[in-house]
Amino acid sequence: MSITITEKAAKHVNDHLVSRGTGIGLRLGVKTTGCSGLAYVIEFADKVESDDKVFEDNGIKLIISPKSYTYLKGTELDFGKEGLNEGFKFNNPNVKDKCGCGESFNV
Amino acid sequence: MSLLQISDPAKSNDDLKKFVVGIDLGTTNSLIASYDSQLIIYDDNDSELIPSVVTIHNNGDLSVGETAVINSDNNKSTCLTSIKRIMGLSYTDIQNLNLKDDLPLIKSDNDLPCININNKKYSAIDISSKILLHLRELAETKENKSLDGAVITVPAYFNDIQRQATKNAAKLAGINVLRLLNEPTAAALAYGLESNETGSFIIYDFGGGTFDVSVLTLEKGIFKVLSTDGNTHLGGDDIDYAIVDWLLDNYAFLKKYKPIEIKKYARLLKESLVDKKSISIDIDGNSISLFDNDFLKIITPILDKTFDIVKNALDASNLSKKDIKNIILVGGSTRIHYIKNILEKKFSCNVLNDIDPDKVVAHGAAIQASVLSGNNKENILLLDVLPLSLGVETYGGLSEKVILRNTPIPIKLRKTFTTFKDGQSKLLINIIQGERELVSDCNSLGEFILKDIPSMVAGGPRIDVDFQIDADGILSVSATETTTGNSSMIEVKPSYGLSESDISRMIEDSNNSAETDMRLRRVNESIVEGKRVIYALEQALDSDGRDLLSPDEYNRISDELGALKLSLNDDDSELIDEKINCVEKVSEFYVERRMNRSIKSLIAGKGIDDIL
Repeated sequence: MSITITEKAAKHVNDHLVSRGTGIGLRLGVKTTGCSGLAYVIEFADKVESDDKVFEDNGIKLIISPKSYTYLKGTELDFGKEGLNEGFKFNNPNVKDKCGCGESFNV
Repeated sequence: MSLLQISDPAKSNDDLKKFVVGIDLGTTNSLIASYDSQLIIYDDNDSELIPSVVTIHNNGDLSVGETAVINSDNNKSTCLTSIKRIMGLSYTDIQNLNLKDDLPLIKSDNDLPCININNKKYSAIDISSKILLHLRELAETKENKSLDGAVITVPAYFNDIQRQATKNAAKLAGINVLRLLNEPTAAALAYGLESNETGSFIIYDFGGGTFDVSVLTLEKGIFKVLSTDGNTHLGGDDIDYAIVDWLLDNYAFLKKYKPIEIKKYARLLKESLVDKKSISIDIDGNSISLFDNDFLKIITPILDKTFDIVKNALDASNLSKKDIKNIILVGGSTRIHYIKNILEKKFSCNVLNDIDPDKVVAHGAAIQASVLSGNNKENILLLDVLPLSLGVETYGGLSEKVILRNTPIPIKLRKTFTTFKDGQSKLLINIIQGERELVSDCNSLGEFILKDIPSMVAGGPRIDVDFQIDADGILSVSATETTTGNSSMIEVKPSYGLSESDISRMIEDSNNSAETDMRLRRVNESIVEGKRVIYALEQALDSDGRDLLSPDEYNRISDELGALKLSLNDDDSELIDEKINCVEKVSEFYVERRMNRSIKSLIAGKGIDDIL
């Protein structure tokens, strides 16, 4: 199963990458934290490790470590607005429940 | 779902970087430098060598460094130089040394020497701290950051009291001392990492006030000190005084000048003579000259003393002259070219002075500071990062990671835990090493029990667990119950017994088994949650189940509870979750009744005013 990114999110990522100047793509991952177990990590990627999984969608390279991949299979990265905030959203089919604040999730 | 922003790993690393420096606190001059891919030396009025001079003005003002030297001619102030010579010494010690320095020393309590200026007493530590504070301010102003720590160099010859005095001076100046480093070792570090030399070396450090010699072997950047020797009162100052004596013998008119002024002329002659046959200077219309053969005659007794010490150090190291591959020259006094020539002749080896002998010690100290702070990740050995994650076992056999692998050490991190049962009085802290989710797949490094936790409901107590790994890789774990302050701890060596192949196998396993681990983690979490529900419900049923429930209702809840208990035996988290749901649903009205009764008992017999 692949990891995808919406056109809207891809445009934002591309803008960020251009203004940053360097970076080959986006690294997605999960870390254990919060009240419900896991939280998403999203950061610029400067290199690919040998065991990373790499997906390309809408012109953006998405890089994921094999461990994070098991939690993120089939995820779509989207960009959205909520009130005054705008930012990235993970549409992750593996999620079973989330904690109240939305910070962490469970699979 | 909260909205996320992209974080920049490169930037966040920069923010985490600590601002650390190496300080060469010298007798004559001091330097402060930082090392982050390249060496930066912080200057004072464009001079990288900062005079270790403090001038105390009669109105109580202080000036330090270059400005202190400029103001020293003034009759309205006292100029203090070479203060390092009396660091950590008693008044009697100093009398025995027969110092020629014109320090206005008096004896104070406990045989401590004090400098008395305008009825104000200054100790050697006070004066040194002024110099250190000046250095700190120079670096902080330049970088516009506050200093996180420093490596300060001391002569190899310094005893514990002198080292402690140096540390105290740093403390007074508000500097966090990462480590005191021997000056010759710092020089070796500068050459070892930059030139990748191997073999045995002599470090010949002839500074302003001290002479040190060390015999080291360097192999792949790791060096071992074989022997050290030296003299804390032999340096460029002695050469200056020897020239002063010679000048007074040959130029009688100089006797009307202050000793400190004659010394200034002597130093000027010494520094100007480098590579020249002779030098002349003019003092108020009188000309004085110094020829290189006279100069050699003046300094020979002093140089011979240094060569004797070199011989002693070499004897102590059990090496012979032919084993020495290089001699590293350190300290401003090694600019006297006779030293290089004589040493080359004596040892028939290459004498190194590629790195500026005035800066080589600060250079090495800055590298050491960078390594100790964890900033310089490329140059550090595998030992300096944590090879595998460390954590503690939580209820249900799960591993909760506290420090993740590849974290640079030393490091200290804290996580807070709590109890699982009402009135739980003890907590077992099992320290786990490994990347897997279940404790049974990781290594246990050791365990200890925190006792005497005050009786509280489950989840009430806060237990802080601190993980600390020092620079030598020693892990200490302590657990503290925050209300009482009760604590216990354990010390272990995390890399003990693991080979490199073990470590890479454990990391690979964790990647390959991520999916199974994830499922097992989930099952275990469901079991823990199920047990919590059973425990809470049984407590409640025991206390008031018969009062609040009809026998029929009681049986229905008991049946669901039994089904939940049964489901815990299967490795099926979905089944367990479903049973938990059933139990919660069937006992909903019971929870409501309990709530109503508690509220009733709270408000019974009270007037409306008491409640609203």
